[in-house]
Amino acid sequence: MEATRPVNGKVNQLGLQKIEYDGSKTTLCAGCGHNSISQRIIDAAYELSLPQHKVIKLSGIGCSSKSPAYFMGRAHGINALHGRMPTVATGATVANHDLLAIGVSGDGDTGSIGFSPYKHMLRRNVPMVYIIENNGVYGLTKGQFSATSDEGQKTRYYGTQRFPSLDMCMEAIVAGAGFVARSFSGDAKQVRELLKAAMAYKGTAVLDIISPCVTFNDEPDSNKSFAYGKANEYPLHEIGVVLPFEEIQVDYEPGTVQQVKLHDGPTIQLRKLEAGYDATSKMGALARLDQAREKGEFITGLLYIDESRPTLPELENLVETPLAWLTEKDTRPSRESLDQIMREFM
Amino acid sequence: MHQPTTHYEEVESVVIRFAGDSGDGMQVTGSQFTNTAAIIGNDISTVPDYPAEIRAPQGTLAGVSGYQVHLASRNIFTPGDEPDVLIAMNPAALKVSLRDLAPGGQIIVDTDEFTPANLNKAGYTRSPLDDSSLQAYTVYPVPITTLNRNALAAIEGLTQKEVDRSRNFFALGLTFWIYDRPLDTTLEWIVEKFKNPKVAAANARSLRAGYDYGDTTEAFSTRYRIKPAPLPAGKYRQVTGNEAAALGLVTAAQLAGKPLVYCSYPITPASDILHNLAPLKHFDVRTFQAEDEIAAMGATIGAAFGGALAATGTSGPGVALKSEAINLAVVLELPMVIVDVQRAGPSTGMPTKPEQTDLFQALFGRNGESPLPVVAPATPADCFDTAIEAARLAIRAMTPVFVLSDGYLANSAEPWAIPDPTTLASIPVAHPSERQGQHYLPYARDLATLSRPWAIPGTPGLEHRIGGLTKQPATGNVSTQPLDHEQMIRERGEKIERLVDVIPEVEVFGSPQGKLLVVGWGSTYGAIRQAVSQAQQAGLPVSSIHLRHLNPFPRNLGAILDNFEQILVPELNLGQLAFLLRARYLRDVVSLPKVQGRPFKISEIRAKIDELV
Ligand SMILES: Cc1ncc(C[n+]2csc(CCOP(=O)(O)OP(=O)(O)O)c2C)c(N)n1
Ligand code: SF4
Ligand SMILES: [Mg+2]
Repeated sequence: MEATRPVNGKVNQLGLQKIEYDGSKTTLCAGCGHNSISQRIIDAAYELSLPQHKVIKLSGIGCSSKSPAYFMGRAHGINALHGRMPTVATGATVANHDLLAIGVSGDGDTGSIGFSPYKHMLRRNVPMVYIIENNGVYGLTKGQFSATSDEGQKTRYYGTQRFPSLDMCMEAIVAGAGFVARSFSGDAKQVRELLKAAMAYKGTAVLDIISPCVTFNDEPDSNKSFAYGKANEYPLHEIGVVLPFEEIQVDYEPGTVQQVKLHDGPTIQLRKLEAGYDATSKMGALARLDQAREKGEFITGLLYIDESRPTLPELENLVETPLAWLTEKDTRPSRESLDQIMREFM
Repeated sequence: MHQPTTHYEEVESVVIRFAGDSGDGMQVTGSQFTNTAAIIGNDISTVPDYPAEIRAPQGTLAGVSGYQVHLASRNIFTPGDEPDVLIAMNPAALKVSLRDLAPGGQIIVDTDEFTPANLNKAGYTRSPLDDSSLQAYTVYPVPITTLNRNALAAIEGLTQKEVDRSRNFFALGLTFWIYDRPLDTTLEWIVEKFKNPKVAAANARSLRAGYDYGDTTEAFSTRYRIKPAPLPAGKYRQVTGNEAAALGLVTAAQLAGKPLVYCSYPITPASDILHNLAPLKHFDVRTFQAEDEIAAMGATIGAAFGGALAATGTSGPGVALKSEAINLAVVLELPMVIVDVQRAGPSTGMPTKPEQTDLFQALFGRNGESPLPVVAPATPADCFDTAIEAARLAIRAMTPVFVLSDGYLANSAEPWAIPDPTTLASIPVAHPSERQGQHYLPYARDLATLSRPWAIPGTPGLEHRIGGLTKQPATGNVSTQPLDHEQMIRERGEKIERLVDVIPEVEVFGSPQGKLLVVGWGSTYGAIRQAVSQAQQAGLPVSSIHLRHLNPFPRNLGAILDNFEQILVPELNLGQLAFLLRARYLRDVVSLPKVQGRPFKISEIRAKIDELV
């Protein structure tokens, strides 16, 4: 893990220091991209002043899926099965929809064994942040190819990948996701801002973060390596999240900034680096991703955002109080409705 | 120069553990020591102890990697309960291994690594070398890092890091000296392995320096010699259970005259079977890394339907996912081998630790009446024979067959006499080539074996359609007739039972009758065998049997059980075989369960034997 931050006495709106969002010490390899992402989650949660008891961390199985232990040590957590975390998240957010669910998965966990749960979670718009720590390899089982290893990718031990890869962002958009981002674990600022935006978003927010595996897939010719990411990351825009109590800056050239106000209050500001990229256009996003794939470009940023789709709890017409907290008094039907039910049986 | 006087002592066996940080190259060190022992002709048995993390923080207890080797001038069956000698490359390695060390054992430590920072990482408040905590052992403090740096000072252009990376070869050289072993096998290996000539030269020099240090220092007054063991003549190599299972599957395919198709999804501790098979394309082996276990099992069924020898490998959680498809294979009646390299469960459990807790899962973990044969290897090398046996049974009875290996067999190694392929019995396969009557009958059963024909799709006249719905006998047409349903269930059950016709009778080790019979299966073989043999030498009326076939049981099992007053069943579970024996033979048995993710120690079984007789 990165060096411990100095305790400088700064606190967030809950009066908490950032160190209070830490988890236990990482057991991942030194330099693993997943460790940086854990740090960014800590940053984002601190800056958003998240109350940790309202957070559930979910994961599958893999090195990536171990990382919920390494951030927000005071939050709740459930380490599920390989590939099945989305299903557990679905149940958890229906039972208790005022929690903030943060899921951490890997490219194997999501793209291989968990592909179908992933797609159905997206269809249903399960309210959660869904992070894919994408290293193009199975780290935990020592370096086999995953479904996101690109065609032609070599690993030290298992030869060359012969099949085309799955693009988790394209898959998310096609399945109906309304918040789809790609980033690079080495781009701390972008990851942090995207995480803040994702945590404020109401439906499934997918973050496909290229996160190098320094032990099994970090040869410079791998496009999931740290060196490749550093040299080739091409951000479509600079992203900033403006919290409700902060001032929005407005002194930009017209057309250069795209703003999206989230229903929770914060505003996402995208200062365009690629002129003409419109993050609210679904076909635009798909076309751009396809082009990036053809040309081997490593584009990052908030690729697609749309807040219009209802989330699963909204579609289920859940009452405001989470099901988990409803008392017998709340759930017992009235005398009259019981009588009516009885009459229907007669 | 002053030549210290050393004297040589002949010993029968020794257990050595090399332990260090995962970055210290302990697996290489251990396997090099083992290779030389194998070439000398000692019997050997080894077990690695990997950290659970891929690369835990350096110097911590979680990062300790160990390799234990037992070598002897007689037949041995286990890597040893307790190391006699510990080579500890840092404080964490010392701390982790100390609890296993035999009383009075020898410890060689790299004193340079006992810095305050490293001691702290290992949780020592003061150095164990400075207090009396190691009094019960003989400690040899050697400044390995410094000596190694001095030895390599003359090689130019190496970074300090590269120099220190060869410390393990210094330690290995010293161990070779103590056990009076030649260096040439390792020297040859170094040249082959390290393409960078500087690194190769450094490692070779470290190895020699370690050896020479033994010659010049006065610290070690005794050197030990271990004679070759009386192993039967033949060509030997070291083999781990996973390597042997992979080779067994390839050999089975060759014996059956079929290509091997192995479909799997990586999972610890089974992945190495896939890795070992992947490069064997030239032996007509195709491997398929599926997206999950469900897909892997589907592809295995497809490969069997298509006419190949189909196999898959996984561990307990993977079996759970495959179960639905395994059940389909049972009712389709297609031959295939399912290797379950068991690990500590339930659920994710302890992926790198062994257990024998999947016996019930293999036998009963499916809906409906779904019997299938189950076999289990006893030793790493036995994984070879067991894989062949599984394929033989699968093809004979047209059924999926489970092989229950485990994480201990998978990674342990022993010498294996490479078999002469011409001495292995071929596996008869009969594919029908033409139709007998008007319609081809895919479920027409052989009168002796009750198994159905294996027609290869693409054969004209043998077009057939099979599925998971209940079938009419013979035609295989979908049926909902109550008696069709029952007949097919009974026939499939009977077909498995009839395998006893070809299953060898089990042999008793020791007297065929007596007070106590120890019954084991799978990887507990070594510990049981050794404990029973010790007890026999002490004059106790104890015998043992070891079951390779867990379903069906060998024909003579019931009669053997009847010849003993008491039955003891040690298992790495809470008594699954014990339960089966009670149910099947109405015999009470004493269960000796252990579920700690560790194999049995010989002494644990011996203690129970002593308690019972
Ligand atoms: C049912 C099942 N099958 C296989 C495994 C073994 N397994 C654990 S993690 C993993 C792959 C992890 O890859 P990924 O999700 O990319 O995570 P990374 O380690 O690369 O971060 C596999 C195959 C398992 N735990 N459970
Ligand atoms: S093996 Fe790879 S993914 Fe796993 S912790 Fe190490 S660097 Fe990270
Ligand atoms: Mg991965």
